[in-house]
Amino acid sequence: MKSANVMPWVSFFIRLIIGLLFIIAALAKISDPIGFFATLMGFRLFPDILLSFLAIFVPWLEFFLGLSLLLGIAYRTASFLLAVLNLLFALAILSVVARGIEIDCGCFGLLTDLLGIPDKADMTAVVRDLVFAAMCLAVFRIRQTAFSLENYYSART
Amino acid sequence: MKRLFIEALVLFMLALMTALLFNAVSPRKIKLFLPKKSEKTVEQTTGVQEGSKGR
Repeated sequence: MKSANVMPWVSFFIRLIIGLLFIIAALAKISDPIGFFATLMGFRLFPDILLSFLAIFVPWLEFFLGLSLLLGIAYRTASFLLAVLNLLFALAILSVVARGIEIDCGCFGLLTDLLGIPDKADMTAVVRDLVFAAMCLAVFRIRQTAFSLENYYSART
Repeated sequence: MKRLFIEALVLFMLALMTALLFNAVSPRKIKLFLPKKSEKTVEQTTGVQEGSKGR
């Protein structure tokens, strides 16, 4: 099978994984905004006024970017923005690790408590965010994808 | 590039509007504009009364 035929499917599977992951992570944070606010406070990176704004805005941004990636509407833009967002998350966690602060990274909100997933802000979380960023950049670079609403509507018109 | 910018703007605005709307109607809302710290809060935090000179 030629690589040109495979790449749209690679892009589709990355979209599926990252899209679902970010929608679930976003919903977990949206359901507990005060918990996410407390997590962000633990990072000691942002001023109070920005903290409350970020606590309500970031989960919804993650949700819409994940949904956009999953449905295949503006998926290249969404993948680029998610790559940038993941790089920023990695930088924030790296700064916490460098300062020796031990906190939860807050990446999966309430789910960490419910499912007992380890969610510490450590080098594992940094590597995980960098892998997610690389996957998003791959979708952005590949350009073609299978099963997307954008392709469906452009084929009809 | 122009398309990327416009789509990014639309996604940002959609997220911002939904976030503000959801926060406004949510029972577990976060206050966006926190009130300034009162003197009592400072006293409680530091244990020092304003105007006191100590020993």
